[in-house]
Amino acid sequence: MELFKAEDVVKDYAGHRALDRVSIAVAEQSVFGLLGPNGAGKTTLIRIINQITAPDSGEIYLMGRKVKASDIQYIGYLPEERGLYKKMKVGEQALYLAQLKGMSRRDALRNLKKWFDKFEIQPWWNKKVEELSKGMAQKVQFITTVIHEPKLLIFDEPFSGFDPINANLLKNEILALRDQGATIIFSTHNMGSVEEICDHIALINKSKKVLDGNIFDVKEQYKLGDYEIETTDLSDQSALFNMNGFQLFESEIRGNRQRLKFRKSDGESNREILQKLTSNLDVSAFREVIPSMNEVFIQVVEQANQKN
Amino acid sequence: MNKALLILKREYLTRVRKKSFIIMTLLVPFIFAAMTVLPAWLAMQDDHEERTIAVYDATGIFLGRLGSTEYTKFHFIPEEEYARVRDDIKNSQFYAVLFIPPNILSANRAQVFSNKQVTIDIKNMIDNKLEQILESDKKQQVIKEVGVPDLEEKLAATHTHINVETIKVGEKGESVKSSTEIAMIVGYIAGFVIYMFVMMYGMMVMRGVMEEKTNRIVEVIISSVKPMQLMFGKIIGIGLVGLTQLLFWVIIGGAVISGVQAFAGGDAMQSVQSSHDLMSAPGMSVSSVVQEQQQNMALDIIDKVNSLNLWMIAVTFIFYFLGGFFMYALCMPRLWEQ
Repeated sequence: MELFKAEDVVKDYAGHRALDRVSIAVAEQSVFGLLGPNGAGKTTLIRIINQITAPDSGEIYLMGRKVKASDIQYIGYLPEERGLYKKMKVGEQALYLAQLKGMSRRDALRNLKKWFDKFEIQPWWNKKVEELSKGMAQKVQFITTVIHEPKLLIFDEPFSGFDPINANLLKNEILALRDQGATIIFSTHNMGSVEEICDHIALINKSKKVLDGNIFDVKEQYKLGDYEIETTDLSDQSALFNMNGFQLFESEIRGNRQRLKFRKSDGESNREILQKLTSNLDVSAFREVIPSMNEVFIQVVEQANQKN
Repeated sequence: MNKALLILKREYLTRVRKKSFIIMTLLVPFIFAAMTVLPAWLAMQDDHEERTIAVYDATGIFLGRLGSTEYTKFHFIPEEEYARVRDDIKNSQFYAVLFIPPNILSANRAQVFSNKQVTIDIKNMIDNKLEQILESDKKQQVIKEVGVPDLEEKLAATHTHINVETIKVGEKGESVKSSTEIAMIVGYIAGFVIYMFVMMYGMMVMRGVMEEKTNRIVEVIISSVKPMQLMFGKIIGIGLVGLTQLLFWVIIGGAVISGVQAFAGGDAMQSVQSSHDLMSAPGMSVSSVVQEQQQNMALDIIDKVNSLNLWMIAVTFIFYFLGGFFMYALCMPRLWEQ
């Protein structure tokens, strides 16, 4: 079931269309990756979901019905450009932000204590934010985003500013939140993290949605027909590959093994390729190359830009 | 709890707890009191330096007529000594040299030479003395020519001074002493305080908005509350900070003033008492009369201040303060964005 849905959302700024009939649907308890180059319109869409701005046309649905002003309490938002009141104490500030999301003081205190224990940052409670390092402040900010147990969590570049250890901690927390029932919209340029945590992605380019789907389907769809084999035969194999109609573009010898990368000609199945190769070569490993999200991203955006 | 109220509470509490706010609130009434009392006190301090001024009088009119005061003495010197002293004042025993030229009656000028800047008191004193002497000489001349011996007394008797007293008539027909001057001064001060407060606290709102923008926390906040709630919570919160400060200033200021009154008032009562004693005795001293007059004047002023409708002033003050503040606070952040 979809927790969140946007239908034909259009948003115009003076002389510039930021979103052009964008529709997305986010399944409950999943991580939805919202991807796209800088200036594509991701942040605009996120702001519309958060009701910071309203769409010029189109509809937004949350939990199966049209979104209302009071739905804000079901949403947690970690903006890309984030900050806290520098002069305020950490605990006081977290409490304030939780209460602004509609929590009672008592519930907020209880949840805060739980999270501060989990991140082992209880000693910071009475420190001023300006005394914290950037990474420390980011942790506090993460807690204030999730403290009111929102059904929909929106993270805009959550890992920027974190060291690898804390980024990993954060990644695990995000996945744990999903497992506990939260639905997550995740916007980033970091394709590595997309592959690690997203179930579904949508790619926005120049204010239009150009790609949408399950992450495995998307990658399958953008396969280029590339393969990699390993053999103990160290001699030059280009003649063999040419004869079979394969385009060999990389060969590398490492120790007593040679690794070869090639692109198949259209319409051949893996079984046919293997048959052709194994009859002439002692193949010790055979692998179909699935494109990384990074490659998919570049391919899709370049294609879309060529069309225009 | 209402979210605007939460914002109001935060805006209010974070500002009221600031050290700078507490220090300002406690210190300003004293600084203000010092600023009004100090110049008056300094002006009351007498100049006790002994000075001798050399006078070379080329006309001969003034010899022996300049009269010395307790601390300032005039010493007449002949022409030869004048030239010497004037060229080397530093090593002479004189503070300054006054040169009265022979043509003073037509030129209307004299010169004072000194190596240090002559104080304004000395300059005024010399000015007055020369003027008085020349004027009285001229008067005598006129009287002699006209042939009316008591002309001066007669002219003096024509001198008139009228004091217009303004009296407000209260609702029940009772007359209340009032003073246009005091009403004006109170209005002026209140106007200035409002101006200062509106500027100060309007700026505070602007700084608050800027802080949220530069901190980027504003995006988190307006994804939790409506921008209107944020703005009104902020403006009313800061307005209340202003009123709190004002309230403390009024309380502390009132305490300081009544303290001064109790101190000075005790003194005054004594002097009034002693002057009454003197009155019963024949040959009352002039100074005590002056003192009593001053005392009466002070009581009069307090009377007149009390005659102002203080409640009305307080209510209108708060009304105009809040009105000005809201207008300014709503406009400034907008203007800043342009």
